[in-house]
Amino acid sequence: MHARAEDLLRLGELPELAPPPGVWERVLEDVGARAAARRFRRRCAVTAAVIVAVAAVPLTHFAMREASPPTFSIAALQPVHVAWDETSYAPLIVESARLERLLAEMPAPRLVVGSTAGTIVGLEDRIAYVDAQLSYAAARDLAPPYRRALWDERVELMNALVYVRFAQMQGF
Amino acid sequence: MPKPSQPIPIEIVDRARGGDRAAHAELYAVFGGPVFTLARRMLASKPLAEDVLQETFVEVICNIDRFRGDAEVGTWIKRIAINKCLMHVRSSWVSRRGPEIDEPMGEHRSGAVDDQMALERALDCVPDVARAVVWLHDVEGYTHAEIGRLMGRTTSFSKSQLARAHERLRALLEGAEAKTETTLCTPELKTC
Repeated sequence: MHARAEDLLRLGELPELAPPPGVWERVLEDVGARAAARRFRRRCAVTAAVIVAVAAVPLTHFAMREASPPTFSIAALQPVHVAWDETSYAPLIVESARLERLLAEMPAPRLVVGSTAGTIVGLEDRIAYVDAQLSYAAARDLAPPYRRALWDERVELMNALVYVRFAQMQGF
Repeated sequence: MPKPSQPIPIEIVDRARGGDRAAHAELYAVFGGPVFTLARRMLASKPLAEDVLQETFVEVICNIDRFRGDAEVGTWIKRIAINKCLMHVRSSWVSRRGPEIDEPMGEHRSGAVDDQMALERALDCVPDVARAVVWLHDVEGYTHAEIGRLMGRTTSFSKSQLARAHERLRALLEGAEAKTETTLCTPELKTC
């Protein structure tokens, strides 16, 4: 069959084989799928980065506020006199906004006493309830005296909350 | 040193780096055959060789921007294919794979087949690692030291595997014993 095996041991002379059909198409599909997966991962990474950045802004602000010493005085807590008017409740809205700002500027407490935390949560819940009633009143266009009463109650609750937070800030 | 591969104009490589699909197709047209041949000879399996061909060109297209041009692009592509083949050789699955018929083999064709087909059949009957070594050394031009490094083994390991492969091929290609073995040999079942 073979005269000399040594003569046949020339592997380099074996003919080149043609690639089977369909492999190139599979290569293109695979590359396309990987590119799509890469784009998806990149989008996820960008989204995650945006979420982290958005979350970091208030956190940084919060940390900077915490780092600065409290600058509140008791004078800031004095309620602004709101003239009684049966129909107009605009001054109450202004006062409510002032108290919101005051509350937002207070530094976060480092230690929270359980009972104080309970009081704060109770007040916040009641404010949320009043806010819901105010939304309802606005939606139904209820009479101004009714709305004034709600704004009045909100200002009272906000005042109480500010006092509690101030006391907490002072270490009481 | 591996033997130099077919040269290809640098413009094609540059276009391929830029994501030009036509350039990718051109690389495949030039090197698809050599890669498939290399994989088919090293693995003695057409399905595995197809897998290697596909995986190699996916990697080539995805990583062509990392090709620095230190060597011919064909050498780089073949190196990727060789690494993939060696991964298959190292995997226990290759040595335990079941019957697989690439092309008709056996005594009934022995009178008609030419010498090259006899050599191909004999090569398929060589154990996996020895076959990979003999192909890398005799055809691709790698030195024993390079083969040892590629396989994570020593230079003498490569030498002994090559000697073993040559001995097996000679035995299969000559003499009555080889004739009997070739007749009985079914590489898929590793009976030789």
